[in-house]
Amino acid sequence: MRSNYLGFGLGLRTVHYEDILATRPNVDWFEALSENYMVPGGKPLYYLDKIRADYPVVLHGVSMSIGSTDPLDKDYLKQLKALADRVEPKWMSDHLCWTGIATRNMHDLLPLPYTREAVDHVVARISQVQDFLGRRMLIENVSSYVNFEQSEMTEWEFLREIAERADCLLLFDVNNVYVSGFNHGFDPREYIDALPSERIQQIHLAGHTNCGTHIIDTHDAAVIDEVWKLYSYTIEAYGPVSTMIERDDHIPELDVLVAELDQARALGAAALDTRIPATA
Amino acid sequence: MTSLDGLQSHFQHYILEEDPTFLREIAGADDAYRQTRLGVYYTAYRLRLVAALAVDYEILQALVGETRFGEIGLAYVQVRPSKFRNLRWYGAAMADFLREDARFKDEPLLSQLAEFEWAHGLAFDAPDAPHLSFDELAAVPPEDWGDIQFIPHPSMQMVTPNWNVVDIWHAHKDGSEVPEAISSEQPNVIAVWRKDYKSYFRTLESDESLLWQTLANGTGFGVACAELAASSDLNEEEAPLRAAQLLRGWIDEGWIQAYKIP
Ligand SMILES: [Fe+2]
Repeated sequence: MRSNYLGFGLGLRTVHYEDILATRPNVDWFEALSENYMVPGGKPLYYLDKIRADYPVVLHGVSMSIGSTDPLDKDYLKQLKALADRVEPKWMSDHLCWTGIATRNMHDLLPLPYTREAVDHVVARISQVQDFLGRRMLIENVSSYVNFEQSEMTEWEFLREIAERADCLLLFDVNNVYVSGFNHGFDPREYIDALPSERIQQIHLAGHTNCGTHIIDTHDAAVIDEVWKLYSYTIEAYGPVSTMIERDDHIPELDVLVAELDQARALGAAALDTRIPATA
Repeated sequence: MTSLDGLQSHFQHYILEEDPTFLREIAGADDAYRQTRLGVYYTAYRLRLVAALAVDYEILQALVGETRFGEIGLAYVQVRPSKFRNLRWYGAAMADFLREDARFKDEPLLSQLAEFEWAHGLAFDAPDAPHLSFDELAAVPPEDWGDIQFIPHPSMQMVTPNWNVVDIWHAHKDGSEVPEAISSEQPNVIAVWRKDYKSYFRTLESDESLLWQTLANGTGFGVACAELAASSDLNEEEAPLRAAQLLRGWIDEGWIQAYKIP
Protein backbone atom coordinates (compact mmCIF):
# COMPACT_ATOMS: atom_id res chain seq x y z
CA MET A 1 0.00 0.00 0.00
CA ARG A 2 1.37 3.40 -0.92
CA SER A 3 1.96 5.84 1.91
CA ASN A 4 -0.53 8.63 2.36
CA TYR A 5 -3.56 6.79 1.04
CA LEU A 6 -6.53 9.05 1.82
CA GLY A 7 -9.46 7.19 0.30
CA PHE A 8 -12.21 8.99 -1.64
CA GLY A 9 -12.45 12.77 -1.87
CA LEU A 10 -14.20 15.64 -3.60
CA GLY A 11 -13.12 18.97 -5.02
CA LEU A 12 -13.98 21.67 -2.48
CA ARG A 13 -16.39 24.17 -4.05
CA THR A 14 -17.77 27.42 -2.60
CA VAL A 15 -21.42 26.41 -3.03
CA HIS A 16 -20.90 23.39 -0.76
CA TYR A 17 -19.11 25.06 2.19
CA GLU A 18 -22.17 25.37 4.42
CA ASP A 19 -23.48 21.95 3.50
CA ILE A 20 -20.16 20.28 4.31
CA LEU A 21 -19.97 21.86 7.74
CA ALA A 22 -23.64 21.19 8.51
CA THR A 23 -23.89 17.59 7.26
CA ARG A 24 -20.32 16.20 7.58
CA PRO A 25 -20.74 14.13 4.42
CA ASN A 26 -19.12 10.76 3.89
CA VAL A 27 -16.11 12.19 2.06
CA ASP A 28 -12.64 11.18 3.21
CA TRP A 29 -10.80 14.31 2.10
CA PHE A 30 -11.10 17.47 0.02
CA GLU A 31 -9.01 18.95 -2.74
CA ALA A 32 -8.91 22.77 -2.55
CA LEU A 33 -7.95 24.90 -5.56
CA SER A 34 -4.92 26.84 -4.34
CA GLU A 35 -5.67 30.03 -6.29
CA ASN A 36 -9.12 30.36 -4.69
CA TYR A 37 -7.43 30.83 -1.34
CA MET A 38 -4.60 33.10 -2.48
CA VAL A 39 -6.66 36.12 -1.46
CA PRO A 40 -6.05 38.50 1.43
CA GLY A 41 -8.80 37.22 3.77
CA GLY A 42 -12.54 36.81 4.24
CA LYS A 43 -14.86 33.87 3.74
CA PRO A 44 -12.74 31.65 1.47
CA LEU A 45 -9.96 31.24 4.04
CA TYR A 46 -12.43 31.14 6.92
CA TYR A 47 -14.23 28.15 5.40
CA LEU A 48 -11.05 26.45 4.31
CA ASP A 49 -9.71 26.60 7.89
CA LYS A 50 -12.97 25.18 9.26
CA ILE A 51 -13.12 22.34 6.78
CA ARG A 52 -9.43 21.63 7.24
CA ALA A 53 -10.08 21.17 10.95
CA ASP A 54 -12.31 18.17 10.16
CA TYR A 55 -10.93 16.72 6.91
CA PRO A 56 -7.53 16.11 5.31
CA VAL A 57 -7.00 18.62 2.51
CA VAL A 58 -4.73 18.60 -0.53
CA LEU A 59 -3.92 21.70 -2.58
CA HIS A 60 -4.38 21.70 -6.35
CA GLY A 61 -3.02 24.61 -8.40
CA VAL A 62 -3.85 25.72 -11.92
CA SER A 63 -1.36 28.50 -12.55
CA MET A 64 2.16 27.39 -11.67
CA SER A 65 2.80 27.17 -15.43
CA ILE A 66 5.57 24.64 -14.91
CA GLY A 67 6.10 24.27 -18.66
CA SER A 68 6.24 27.96 -19.57
CA THR A 69 9.43 29.50 -20.93
CA ASP A 70 8.80 32.54 -18.72
CA PRO A 71 10.84 32.41 -15.50
CA LEU A 72 9.10 30.77 -12.55
CA ASP A 73 6.99 33.31 -10.71
CA LYS A 74 8.70 33.71 -7.33
CA ASP A 75 5.82 35.72 -5.86
CA TYR A 76 3.38 33.02 -6.78
CA LEU A 77 5.58 30.35 -5.23
CA LYS A 78 5.96 32.39 -2.05
CA GLN A 79 2.20 32.83 -1.77
CA LEU A 80 1.71 29.14 -2.43
CA LYS A 81 4.19 28.24 0.26
CA ALA A 82 2.48 30.59 2.72
CA LEU A 83 -0.85 28.93 1.92
CA ALA A 84 0.71 25.51 2.44
CA ASP A 85 2.06 26.62 5.83
CA ARG A 86 -1.45 27.63 6.83
CA VAL A 87 -3.35 24.65 5.42
CA GLU A 88 -0.76 21.90 5.97
CA PRO A 89 -2.02 19.95 2.96
CA LYS A 90 -1.31 16.26 2.63
CA TRP A 91 0.24 17.11 -0.74
CA MET A 92 0.27 19.70 -3.51
CA SER A 93 -0.27 19.34 -7.23
CA ASP A 94 -0.34 21.27 -10.48
CA HIS A 95 -0.48 20.42 -14.17
CA LEU A 96 2.03 19.37 -16.80
CA CYS A 97 1.28 22.37 -18.99
CA TRP A 98 1.95 26.05 -19.49
CA THR A 99 -0.56 28.85 -18.99
CA GLY A 100 1.06 31.77 -20.81
CA ILE A 101 4.25 33.64 -21.63
CA ALA A 102 5.47 37.23 -21.65
CA THR A 103 3.56 37.81 -18.37
CA ARG A 104 0.26 37.08 -20.11
CA ASN A 105 -2.09 34.44 -18.80
CA MET A 106 -4.34 32.36 -21.05
CA HIS A 107 -6.11 30.78 -18.04
CA ASP A 108 -5.90 27.42 -19.73
CA LEU A 109 -3.85 24.26 -19.30
CA LEU A 110 -1.96 24.47 -22.57
CA PRO A 111 -0.18 21.35 -23.83
CA LEU A 112 3.57 21.06 -24.29
CA PRO A 113 5.33 19.55 -27.28
CA TYR A 114 6.67 16.11 -26.36
CA THR A 115 10.32 16.88 -27.05
CA ARG A 116 13.67 16.29 -25.30
CA GLU A 117 14.00 20.05 -24.98
CA ALA A 118 10.66 20.30 -23.15
CA VAL A 119 11.57 17.37 -20.89
CA ASP A 120 14.82 19.09 -19.84
CA HIS A 121 13.03 22.38 -19.33
CA VAL A 122 10.22 20.95 -17.20
CA VAL A 123 12.47 18.64 -15.16
CA ALA A 124 14.68 21.56 -14.14
CA ARG A 125 11.68 23.62 -13.14
CA ILE A 126 9.94 20.90 -11.14
CA SER A 127 13.20 20.39 -9.25
CA GLN A 128 13.40 24.11 -8.51
CA VAL A 129 9.82 24.16 -7.25
CA GLN A 130 10.28 21.05 -5.11
CA ASP A 131 13.42 22.56 -3.57
CA PHE A 132 11.63 25.81 -2.85
CA LEU A 133 8.51 24.20 -1.37
CA GLY A 134 10.54 21.58 0.47
CA ARG A 135 8.25 18.78 -0.69
CA ARG A 136 7.56 16.64 -3.73
CA MET A 137 4.95 17.88 -6.16
CA LEU A 138 2.28 15.85 -7.90
CA ILE A 139 2.13 16.60 -11.61
CA GLU A 140 -1.11 16.01 -13.49
CA ASN A 141 -1.61 14.99 -17.12
CA VAL A 142 -3.92 17.44 -18.96
CA SER A 143 -6.52 16.99 -21.68
CA SER A 144 -5.38 18.24 -25.06
CA TYR A 145 -6.95 19.02 -28.42
CA VAL A 146 -3.86 19.37 -30.61
CA ASN A 147 -0.64 17.49 -31.34
CA PHE A 148 2.46 19.38 -32.39
CA GLU A 149 4.56 18.58 -35.46
CA GLN A 150 7.69 18.89 -33.35
CA SER A 151 6.73 16.16 -30.84
CA GLU A 152 9.29 13.34 -30.68
CA MET A 153 7.58 10.89 -28.32
CA THR A 154 4.19 9.89 -26.94
CA GLU A 155 2.57 11.77 -24.09
CA TRP A 156 3.08 8.85 -21.69
CA GLU A 157 6.77 8.59 -22.57
CA PHE A 158 7.06 12.32 -21.97
CA LEU A 159 5.24 12.16 -18.63
CA ARG A 160 7.16 9.12 -17.44
CA GLU A 161 10.54 10.58 -18.24
CA ILE A 162 9.74 13.84 -16.50
CA ALA A 163 8.43 12.09 -13.39
CA GLU A 164 11.50 9.90 -13.14
CA ARG A 165 14.07 12.57 -13.83
CA ALA A 166 12.44 15.21 -11.60
CA ASP A 167 11.62 12.55 -9.01
CA CYS A 168 8.11 13.92 -8.62
CA LEU A 169 4.81 12.19 -7.98
CA LEU A 170 1.86 11.96 -10.35
CA LEU A 171 -1.75 12.97 -10.24
CA PHE A 172 -3.34 10.73 -12.82
CA ASP A 173 -6.49 12.15 -14.38
CA VAL A 174 -8.44 9.24 -15.84
CA ASN A 175 -10.87 11.49 -17.67
CA ASN A 176 -8.05 13.50 -19.25
CA VAL A 177 -6.47 10.34 -20.61
CA TYR A 178 -9.83 9.29 -22.00
CA VAL A 179 -10.36 12.73 -23.57
CA SER A 180 -6.87 12.92 -25.07
CA GLY A 181 -7.07 9.30 -26.26
CA PHE A 182 -10.33 10.12 -28.07
CA ASN A 183 -8.94 13.37 -29.50
CA HIS A 184 -5.65 11.88 -30.69
CA GLY A 185 -6.63 8.28 -31.36
CA PHE A 186 -4.56 6.38 -28.82
CA ASP A 187 -5.57 3.61 -26.45
CA PRO A 188 -5.75 4.95 -22.87
CA ARG A 189 -4.82 1.49 -21.59
CA GLU A 190 -1.45 1.71 -23.27
CA TYR A 191 -0.94 5.03 -21.46
CA ILE A 192 -1.92 3.54 -18.10
CA ASP A 193 0.35 0.53 -18.58
CA ALA A 194 3.32 2.76 -19.32
CA LEU A 195 3.25 4.97 -16.22
CA PRO A 196 5.41 4.28 -13.16
CA SER A 197 2.75 2.91 -10.79
CA GLU A 198 4.71 3.70 -7.63
CA ARG A 199 4.64 7.45 -8.35
CA ILE A 200 0.86 7.71 -8.71
CA GLN A 201 -0.41 9.37 -5.58
CA GLN A 202 -3.81 10.66 -6.63
CA ILE A 203 -6.52 10.14 -9.24
CA HIS A 204 -8.95 12.63 -10.77
CA LEU A 205 -12.30 11.70 -12.24
CA ALA A 206 -14.59 14.13 -14.08
CA GLY A 207 -17.18 14.55 -16.80
CA HIS A 208 -16.69 16.18 -20.19
CA THR A 209 -18.46 17.40 -23.34
CA ASN A 210 -18.45 15.23 -26.43
CA CYS A 211 -18.57 17.37 -29.60
CA GLY A 212 -18.62 14.36 -31.92
CA THR A 213 -15.30 14.94 -33.64
CA HIS A 214 -13.55 15.76 -30.38
CA ILE A 215 -14.14 15.89 -26.63
CA ILE A 216 -13.69 18.99 -24.48
CA ASP A 217 -12.69 18.62 -20.84
CA THR A 218 -15.43 20.73 -19.26
CA HIS A 219 -15.91 19.19 -15.77
CA ASP A 220 -19.61 20.05 -16.04
CA ALA A 221 -21.26 16.64 -16.02
CA ALA A 222 -21.23 13.23 -14.39
CA VAL A 223 -18.41 10.77 -15.08
CA ILE A 224 -19.35 8.63 -18.12
CA ASP A 225 -19.36 4.81 -18.24
CA GLU A 226 -16.28 4.58 -20.45
CA VAL A 227 -14.30 6.61 -17.92
CA TRP A 228 -15.59 4.44 -15.07
CA LYS A 229 -14.33 1.38 -16.95
CA LEU A 230 -11.00 3.04 -17.37
CA TYR A 231 -10.98 3.86 -13.66
CA SER A 232 -11.46 0.17 -12.84
CA TYR A 233 -8.61 -0.66 -15.18
CA THR A 234 -6.45 1.98 -13.48
CA ILE A 235 -7.04 0.58 -9.99
CA GLU A 236 -6.41 -2.94 -11.25
CA ALA A 237 -3.11 -1.69 -12.62
CA TYR A 238 -1.96 0.57 -9.78
CA GLY A 239 -3.71 -0.72 -6.66
CA PRO A 240 -5.39 1.63 -4.17
CA VAL A 241 -4.87 5.29 -5.06
CA SER A 242 -6.58 8.29 -3.40
CA THR A 243 -9.39 9.19 -5.77
CA MET A 244 -11.55 12.29 -6.13
CA ILE A 245 -14.18 13.79 -8.43
CA GLU A 246 -13.79 17.24 -9.96
CA ARG A 247 -16.84 19.32 -10.86
CA ASP A 248 -16.38 22.94 -11.90
CA ASP A 249 -19.53 23.85 -13.76
CA HIS A 250 -23.23 22.96 -13.38
CA ILE A 251 -22.26 21.98 -9.86
CA PRO A 252 -25.04 19.86 -8.32
CA GLU A 253 -26.04 19.51 -4.68
CA LEU A 254 -23.38 17.96 -2.49
CA ASP A 255 -25.31 14.69 -2.03
CA VAL A 256 -25.30 14.10 -5.80
CA LEU A 257 -21.51 14.22 -5.80
CA VAL A 258 -21.28 12.09 -2.67
CA ALA A 259 -23.41 9.47 -4.46
CA GLU A 260 -21.12 9.66 -7.50
CA LEU A 261 -18.17 9.20 -5.17
CA ASP A 262 -19.84 6.08 -3.74
CA GLN A 263 -19.78 4.71 -7.27
CA ALA A 264 -16.01 5.26 -7.31
CA ARG A 265 -15.73 3.48 -3.94
CA ALA A 266 -17.67 0.48 -5.23
CA LEU A 267 -15.73 0.24 -8.49
CA GLY A 268 -12.44 0.75 -6.68
CA ALA A 269 -13.23 -2.07 -4.23
CA ALA A 270 -14.31 -4.39 -7.06
CA ALA A 271 -11.15 -3.61 -9.02
CA LEU A 272 -9.00 -4.47 -6.01
CA ASP A 273 -10.83 -7.78 -5.65
CA THR A 274 -9.99 -8.56 -9.26
CA ARG A 275 -6.41 -7.57 -8.68
CA ILE A 276 -5.86 -9.60 -5.54
CA PRO A 277 -8.32 -12.51 -5.70
CA ALA A 278 -9.81 -13.13 -2.26
CA THR A 279 -8.67 -16.41 -0.74
CA ALA A 280 -11.38 -18.77 0.49
CA MET B 1 14.78 31.37 -29.80
CA THR B 2 14.45 27.68 -28.95
CA SER B 3 11.71 25.61 -30.50
CA LEU B 4 9.82 25.60 -27.19
CA ASP B 5 9.95 29.41 -26.97
CA GLY B 6 8.80 29.67 -30.54
CA LEU B 7 5.93 27.27 -30.13
CA GLN B 8 4.64 28.98 -27.00
CA SER B 9 4.87 32.40 -28.52
CA HIS B 10 3.05 31.30 -31.69
CA PHE B 11 0.41 29.39 -29.75
CA GLN B 12 -0.31 32.34 -27.49
CA HIS B 13 -0.47 34.64 -30.50
CA TYR B 14 -3.02 32.29 -32.02
CA ILE B 15 -5.17 32.43 -28.90
CA LEU B 16 -5.00 36.21 -28.74
CA GLU B 17 -5.10 37.10 -32.45
CA GLU B 18 -5.97 33.90 -34.34
CA ASP B 19 -2.73 34.14 -36.34
CA PRO B 20 -3.12 31.43 -39.06
CA THR B 21 0.64 30.87 -39.51
CA PHE B 22 0.54 28.73 -36.38
CA LEU B 23 -1.55 26.08 -38.15
CA ARG B 24 1.55 24.59 -39.78
CA GLU B 25 2.95 23.62 -36.38
CA ILE B 26 -0.10 21.47 -35.60
CA ALA B 27 -0.22 17.84 -36.70
CA GLY B 28 -3.36 16.87 -38.58
CA ALA B 29 -5.00 15.90 -41.85
CA ASP B 30 -5.86 19.41 -43.06
CA ASP B 31 -6.25 23.02 -42.01
CA ALA B 32 -9.95 22.66 -41.27
CA TYR B 33 -9.07 20.01 -38.68
CA ARG B 34 -6.26 22.14 -37.24
CA GLN B 35 -8.53 25.16 -37.02
CA THR B 36 -11.25 23.21 -35.22
CA ARG B 37 -8.82 21.91 -32.65
CA LEU B 38 -7.03 25.22 -32.08
CA GLY B 39 -10.45 26.84 -31.97
CA VAL B 40 -11.11 24.99 -28.72
CA TYR B 41 -8.32 27.02 -27.10
CA TYR B 42 -9.27 30.25 -28.86
CA THR B 43 -12.87 29.99 -27.71
CA ALA B 44 -12.12 28.72 -24.22
CA TYR B 45 -9.93 31.74 -23.47
CA ARG B 46 -12.77 34.14 -24.22
CA LEU B 47 -15.53 32.09 -22.61
CA ARG B 48 -13.53 31.62 -19.43
CA LEU B 49 -12.69 35.30 -19.04
CA VAL B 50 -16.21 36.50 -19.82
CA ALA B 51 -17.58 33.93 -17.36
CA ALA B 52 -15.24 35.28 -14.68
CA LEU B 53 -16.47 38.82 -15.43
CA ALA B 54 -20.08 37.65 -15.16
CA VAL B 55 -19.38 36.47 -11.62
CA ASP B 56 -17.83 39.80 -10.62
CA TYR B 57 -20.46 41.88 -12.44
CA GLU B 58 -23.62 39.87 -11.90
CA ILE B 59 -25.92 42.90 -11.61
CA LEU B 60 -24.34 44.69 -14.55
CA GLN B 61 -25.13 41.58 -16.59
CA ALA B 62 -28.69 41.55 -15.26
CA LEU B 63 -29.07 45.23 -16.18
CA VAL B 64 -27.78 45.08 -19.76
CA GLY B 65 -28.78 41.48 -20.53
CA GLU B 66 -26.61 38.53 -21.42
CA THR B 67 -26.07 39.49 -25.07
CA ARG B 68 -24.82 42.98 -24.39
CA PHE B 69 -22.83 41.79 -21.40
CA GLY B 70 -21.15 39.29 -23.72
CA GLU B 71 -20.22 42.19 -26.03
CA ILE B 72 -18.87 44.23 -23.13
CA GLY B 73 -16.92 41.21 -21.90
CA LEU B 74 -15.39 40.42 -25.29
CA ALA B 75 -14.48 44.07 -25.82
CA TYR B 76 -12.76 44.07 -22.43
CA VAL B 77 -10.96 40.80 -23.18
CA GLN B 78 -9.70 42.20 -26.48
CA VAL B 79 -8.35 45.39 -24.92
CA ARG B 80 -7.09 43.84 -21.67
CA PRO B 81 -5.33 40.51 -22.17
CA SER B 82 -5.04 38.87 -18.78
CA LYS B 83 -1.86 39.44 -16.84
CA PHE B 84 -3.27 37.84 -13.72
CA ARG B 85 -2.41 34.40 -12.48
CA ASN B 86 -5.63 34.40 -10.53
CA LEU B 87 -8.93 35.08 -12.34
CA ARG B 88 -10.10 36.76 -9.15
CA TRP B 89 -8.42 39.99 -10.21
CA TYR B 90 -9.07 39.93 -13.93
CA GLY B 91 -12.08 42.25 -13.81
CA ALA B 92 -10.31 44.95 -11.77
CA ALA B 93 -10.23 47.47 -14.62
CA MET B 94 -13.84 47.09 -15.77
CA ALA B 95 -15.09 50.39 -14.33
CA ASP B 96 -12.15 52.26 -15.90
CA PHE B 97 -12.74 50.49 -19.19
CA LEU B 98 -16.44 51.38 -19.28
CA ARG B 99 -15.69 54.96 -18.28
CA GLU B 100 -13.10 55.47 -21.02
CA ASP B 101 -14.10 53.27 -23.95
CA ALA B 102 -15.90 55.17 -26.71
CA ARG B 103 -18.56 52.45 -26.98
CA PHE B 104 -19.69 52.79 -23.35
CA LYS B 105 -18.56 56.13 -21.95
CA ASP B 106 -21.86 57.83 -22.79
CA GLU B 107 -23.56 55.57 -20.24
CA PRO B 108 -21.86 56.42 -16.94
CA LEU B 109 -24.37 54.19 -15.13
CA LEU B 110 -22.48 51.17 -16.48
CA SER B 111 -19.09 52.13 -15.08
CA GLN B 112 -20.60 53.32 -11.80
CA LEU B 113 -22.48 50.07 -11.30
CA ALA B 114 -19.29 48.15 -12.15
CA GLU B 115 -17.36 50.15 -9.58
CA PHE B 116 -20.01 49.44 -6.95
CA GLU B 117 -19.94 45.71 -7.67
CA TRP B 118 -16.15 45.59 -7.65
CA ALA B 119 -16.17 47.29 -4.23
CA HIS B 120 -18.33 44.42 -2.97
CA GLY B 121 -15.73 41.98 -4.21
CA LEU B 122 -12.90 43.88 -2.55
CA ALA B 123 -14.76 43.98 0.76
CA PHE B 124 -15.57 40.26 0.47
CA ASP B 125 -11.98 38.99 0.58
CA ALA B 126 -10.10 41.96 2.02
CA PRO B 127 -7.57 41.11 4.75
CA ASP B 128 -9.00 39.88 8.04
CA ALA B 129 -8.64 42.37 10.88
CA PRO B 130 -10.30 43.02 14.23
CA HIS B 131 -12.98 45.66 14.69
CA LEU B 132 -12.43 48.32 17.33
CA SER B 133 -14.72 47.79 20.33
CA PHE B 134 -16.40 50.33 22.59
CA ASP B 135 -14.48 48.91 25.55
CA GLU B 136 -11.15 49.58 23.90
CA LEU B 137 -12.22 53.11 23.11
CA ALA B 138 -13.47 53.73 26.66
CA ALA B 139 -9.94 53.07 27.92
CA VAL B 140 -8.56 56.10 26.03
CA PRO B 141 -7.57 58.84 28.54
CA PRO B 142 -9.54 62.10 27.98
CA GLU B 143 -6.33 64.08 27.31
CA ASP B 144 -5.60 61.91 24.26
CA TRP B 145 -8.89 62.59 22.52
CA GLY B 146 -7.53 65.60 20.66
CA ASP B 147 -4.81 63.58 18.95
CA ILE B 148 -6.42 60.18 18.55
CA GLN B 149 -6.39 58.75 15.04
CA PHE B 150 -8.56 55.97 13.61
CA ILE B 151 -7.51 53.18 11.27
CA PRO B 152 -10.29 52.12 8.90
CA HIS B 153 -11.08 48.43 8.70
CA PRO B 154 -9.26 47.02 5.60
CA SER B 155 -12.56 45.93 4.07
CA MET B 156 -13.85 49.54 3.89
CA GLN B 157 -14.52 50.71 0.33
CA MET B 158 -16.03 54.03 -0.72
CA VAL B 159 -17.68 54.71 -4.07
CA THR B 160 -19.28 57.94 -5.24
CA PRO B 161 -21.81 57.36 -8.03
CA ASN B 162 -24.14 60.16 -9.13
CA TRP B 163 -26.45 57.65 -10.84
CA ASN B 164 -28.97 55.61 -8.85
CA VAL B 165 -26.85 52.45 -8.86
CA VAL B 166 -27.96 51.37 -5.38
CA ASP B 167 -31.66 51.39 -6.28
CA ILE B 168 -30.97 49.54 -9.51
CA TRP B 169 -28.73 47.04 -7.72
CA HIS B 170 -31.44 46.37 -5.09
CA ALA B 171 -34.16 45.93 -7.69
CA HIS B 172 -32.14 43.32 -9.57
CA LYS B 173 -31.15 41.53 -6.38
CA ASP B 174 -34.73 41.38 -5.08
CA GLY B 175 -36.33 40.77 -8.45
CA SER B 176 -38.51 43.85 -7.97
CA GLU B 177 -39.33 46.43 -10.62
CA VAL B 178 -36.15 48.10 -11.86
CA PRO B 179 -36.33 51.89 -11.55
CA GLU B 180 -35.48 54.19 -14.41
CA ALA B 181 -31.84 55.24 -14.45
CA ILE B 182 -31.56 58.75 -13.09
CA SER B 183 -28.65 60.93 -12.08
CA SER B 184 -28.24 63.65 -9.50
CA GLU B 185 -25.90 66.59 -9.60
CA GLN B 186 -24.15 65.64 -6.38
CA PRO B 187 -22.62 62.18 -6.13
CA ASN B 188 -23.80 59.85 -3.36
CA VAL B 189 -21.07 58.62 -1.05
CA ILE B 190 -21.54 54.90 -0.41
CA ALA B 191 -19.56 52.76 1.98
CA VAL B 192 -19.16 49.02 1.33
CA TRP B 193 -17.61 46.85 4.04
CA ARG B 194 -17.51 43.45 5.69
CA LYS B 195 -18.20 42.44 9.25
CA ASP B 196 -18.40 38.87 10.59
CA TYR B 197 -17.97 37.57 7.03
CA LYS B 198 -21.02 39.47 5.81
CA SER B 199 -20.91 42.38 3.37
CA TYR B 200 -22.84 45.59 3.97
CA PHE B 201 -23.26 48.94 2.28
CA ARG B 202 -25.04 52.20 2.94
CA THR B 203 -25.15 55.82 1.85
CA LEU B 204 -23.40 58.39 4.02
CA GLU B 205 -24.88 61.70 5.08
CA SER B 206 -22.94 64.68 3.79
CA ASP B 207 -21.36 65.76 7.11
CA GLU B 208 -20.62 62.11 7.80
CA SER B 209 -18.69 61.65 4.58
CA LEU B 210 -16.77 64.85 5.33
CA LEU B 211 -15.70 63.58 8.75
CA TRP B 212 -14.93 60.09 7.47
CA GLN B 213 -12.68 61.38 4.71
CA THR B 214 -10.75 63.53 7.15
CA LEU B 215 -10.32 60.78 9.75
CA ALA B 216 -9.54 58.07 7.20
CA ASN B 217 -6.64 60.23 6.02
CA GLY B 218 -5.09 59.94 9.46
CA THR B 219 -6.12 63.35 10.77
CA GLY B 220 -6.41 63.56 14.56
CA PHE B 221 -9.91 63.71 16.09
CA GLY B 222 -9.58 67.29 17.40
CA VAL B 223 -8.55 68.73 14.04
CA ALA B 224 -11.20 66.65 12.27
CA CYS B 225 -13.89 68.12 14.54
CA ALA B 226 -12.66 71.63 13.78
CA GLU B 227 -12.75 70.87 10.05
CA LEU B 228 -16.26 69.49 10.41
CA ALA B 229 -17.37 72.72 12.09
CA ALA B 230 -15.68 74.82 9.41
CA SER B 231 -17.26 73.02 6.48
CA SER B 232 -20.77 72.29 7.79
CA ASP B 233 -23.62 74.11 9.52
CA LEU B 234 -22.41 72.87 12.89
CA ASN B 235 -20.75 75.25 15.34
CA GLU B 236 -17.65 74.42 17.35
CA GLU B 237 -19.63 72.96 20.24
CA GLU B 238 -21.98 70.92 18.08
CA ALA B 239 -19.29 69.45 15.83
CA PRO B 240 -17.54 67.23 18.44
CA LEU B 241 -20.91 65.94 19.65
CA ARG B 242 -21.95 65.06 16.13
CA ALA B 243 -18.52 63.53 15.48
CA ALA B 244 -18.78 61.37 18.59
CA GLN B 245 -22.24 60.24 17.52
CA LEU B 246 -20.99 59.28 14.06
CA LEU B 247 -17.97 57.53 15.51
CA ARG B 248 -20.21 55.40 17.72
CA GLY B 249 -22.21 54.37 14.69
CA TRP B 250 -19.07 53.44 12.74
CA ILE B 251 -17.68 51.35 15.57
CA ASP B 252 -21.00 49.59 15.86
CA GLU B 253 -20.98 48.86 12.13
CA GLY B 254 -17.37 47.68 12.11
CA TRP B 255 -15.79 50.45 10.03
CA ILE B 256 -12.82 50.93 12.35
CA GLN B 257 -10.04 48.49 13.00
CA ALA B 258 -8.11 50.30 15.72
CA TYR B 259 -7.06 53.67 17.06
CA LYS B 260 -3.64 55.05 17.62
CA ILE B 261 -2.31 57.91 19.68
CA PRO B 262 0.65 59.43 17.88
FE1 LIG C 1 -7.86 16.95 -13.34
